[in-house]
Amino acid sequence: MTPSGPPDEHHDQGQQGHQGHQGHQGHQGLAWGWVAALRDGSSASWAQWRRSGATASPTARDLPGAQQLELVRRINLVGAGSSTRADLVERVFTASATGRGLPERTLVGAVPERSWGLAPLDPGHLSDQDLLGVAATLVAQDLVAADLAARASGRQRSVSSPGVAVARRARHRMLRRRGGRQVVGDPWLAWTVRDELLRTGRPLAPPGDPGREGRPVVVVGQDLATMLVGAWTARAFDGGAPSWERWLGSGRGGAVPRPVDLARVARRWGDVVGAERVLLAPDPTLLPIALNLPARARRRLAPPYVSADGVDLARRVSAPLGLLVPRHERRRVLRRVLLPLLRADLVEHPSPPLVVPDSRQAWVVRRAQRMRDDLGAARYPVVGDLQALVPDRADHRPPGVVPDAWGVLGLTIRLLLAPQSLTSHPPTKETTR
Amino acid sequence: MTRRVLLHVGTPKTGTSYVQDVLFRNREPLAEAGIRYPAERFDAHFLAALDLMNLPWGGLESEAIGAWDRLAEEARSHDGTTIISHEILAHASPTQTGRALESLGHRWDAAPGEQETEVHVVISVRDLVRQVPAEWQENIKHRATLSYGEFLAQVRDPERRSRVASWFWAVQEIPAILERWAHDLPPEHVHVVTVPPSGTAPEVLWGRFSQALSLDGVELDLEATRANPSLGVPETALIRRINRIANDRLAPPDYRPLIRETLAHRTLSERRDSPRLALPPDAHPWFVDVAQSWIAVVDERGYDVIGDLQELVGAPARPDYADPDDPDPRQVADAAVDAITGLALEAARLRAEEHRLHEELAAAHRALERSYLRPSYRVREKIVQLLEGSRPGRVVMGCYRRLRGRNSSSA
Repeated sequence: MTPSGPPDEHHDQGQQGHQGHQGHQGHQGLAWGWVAALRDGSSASWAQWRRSGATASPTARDLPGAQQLELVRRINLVGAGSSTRADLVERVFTASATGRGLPERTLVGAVPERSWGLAPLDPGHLSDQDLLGVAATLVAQDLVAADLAARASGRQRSVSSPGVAVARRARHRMLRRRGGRQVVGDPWLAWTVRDELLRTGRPLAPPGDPGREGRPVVVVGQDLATMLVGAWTARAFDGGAPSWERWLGSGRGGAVPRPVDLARVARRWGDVVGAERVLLAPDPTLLPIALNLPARARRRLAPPYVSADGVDLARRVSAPLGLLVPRHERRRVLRRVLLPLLRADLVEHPSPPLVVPDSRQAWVVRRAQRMRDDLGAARYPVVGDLQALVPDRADHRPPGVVPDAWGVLGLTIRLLLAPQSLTSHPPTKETTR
Repeated sequence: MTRRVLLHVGTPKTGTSYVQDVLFRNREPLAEAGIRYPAERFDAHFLAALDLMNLPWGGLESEAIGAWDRLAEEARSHDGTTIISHEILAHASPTQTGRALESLGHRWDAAPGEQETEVHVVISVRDLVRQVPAEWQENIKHRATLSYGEFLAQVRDPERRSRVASWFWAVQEIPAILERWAHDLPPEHVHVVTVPPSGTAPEVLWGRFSQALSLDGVELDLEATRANPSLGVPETALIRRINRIANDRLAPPDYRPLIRETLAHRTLSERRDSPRLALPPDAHPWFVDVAQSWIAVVDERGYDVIGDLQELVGAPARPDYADPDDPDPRQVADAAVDAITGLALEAARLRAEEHRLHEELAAAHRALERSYLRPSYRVREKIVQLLEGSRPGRVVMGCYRRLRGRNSSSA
């Protein structure tokens, strides 16, 4: 249904309620005209469209919500020539956001005035945050589709094929029976280390198990600022993380969040195996020594880079994903399907990492110094220097950012438009996990 | 026979739990009358509603995957009347209501006579004078800690920015719910059931539901087994204080049975003499004005009203209003004594259960020991030890275990 012609693409100065001479039906027709234009790739705003007066007949029971319409417009702005745009637009028109707090808004000028309900609005006034509710739901659907496609094509055999899965479990059991070691601490770093140990066939104790007698429980860490970033990243890729700011403040009485409280982790393991069997590894560059690995393994022990926007997207996608797959599958899909897609996107769209906001830097240094002192006083064996836990303010790191809804929305739209998002995803080392 | 679906879409706190319980327990007599209530468990339609609306709900959502489509398929496969009922369906967005109606066989662009399925929407409604405090109380029973004053301020915020306000109006704003669910249905297919004032005999409300759901003339067991009891002012204030202290320490799977079920529903709701929750006198006129505007809209649309729309105005403001943000400390202390007693009784019941399980376990251990002492066991044990001592013996044991089809290495 093509309308009678799109309006000029000049910038909208924003105006509402100037179409009073037209009736309700005329306004609905105008809105359906905009829907048709958006379907054809227009990036005209609703305000611009209202000035044009082009109308069309309804193509569905209800007009799409303001969030859906504005999201389509944003998609058209960046994906006009994309081969996947038309299908994506149809999906957006019929998508709903996940959760309790995101009602679909009606279009100002497309419904008559009434005494009830939320006031209709101009979609141009919606925030990026408002649009992310719908967009994240679509990404979750794509992840499930990509996962199913990968399973069907056999590229994720270790996950999908029952025979291979059984063999993998048997191998892990064997590795553990031989007496593995336990690796705990910084969640994102520990996950990478455990993954690498399993990948290279080294025995690893199952979670909660101290491992073979005589082997140390290795508590991995790094400077506290990086650990905080890593712990929230791990939480986002587990599913169900609060926002970055809220999570940073979640420790009781100004304490650091529990996953990065290495003093607590070491104390807990010390109670189980004795302090002499707890080995602290606060410097990632010395991890091969702590783990008795060749020096060349150092590169593979570095956690995968994820941008600030990428982590925040994982966090937002986890809620709708939880409605599509069982809870235990959610972590696997986030880490094995979304993570590689995010890393592939970084090739063409480099994006800064997550950092602790300036307002919290002094708190991080204070807490890191306290952690260093607590661990030092407990006299655990250490590979390296506990001073590595304290962020160096003079350290010239690449500048980082805190998550930003505009950047997250841009990333989301790129993923939704990417041809591979519907059918496949690149294989990664995580497939061996 | 015409295929008909009666879709009861809310609103919460209007006797819906009772209706669903009656329908679930009477599936057989209903089926004999050609009416189907397709549910294998009493909350089946709740799961379907979660699925339709993409709603996370404390982990239950993973049980809900695909539930709506299965429910719709059952409705479409029945040549008669199907009833679907859940109050949170009131929350559905236009996109979701469109999808739901289409999945039931209703096409938005078909003439009324050409519909595959004749869909009727039923909505039960109650005055805001009772609904507002009831919603706050429901929030408190779901771990919320916000005060009644904060709740009222959020609900009256015209932007409805908070989750509380967004949810409240989504499930309570009658004209909007009807617009979303029924704007393309003939008005005679939309049935508005009003809840009569407090003190009215329960049969009156059931009679209205019975009429709306076409149940008149069907012999049903109406004894209630499932209800959603309400709390008074000091009891709700007490739960809120408990939430503030215990939320961080009590996991959701423990909160539900201990606080909501044992404490709120089974202990504190039994206290009948404490002051009831109500609207504060200064907020009362605002909500009555809202109700009046809704009455005008519903009246104008010409729906089938069962009851009296004027009942939506509600009772006048209470001169003896008790503020749950500033409750009488003695009343709260009395409620706390009952709460401690209730929890102690529950702890005693659990201790008895623990004792019983210990006894059961000890009996199992004794039986196991007796079986070890039998001569036949000793002979078998010796044979196994003998075979495990040599390579050919181990091969024989391996074959035996494979034939048994399970690991008997511990034998």
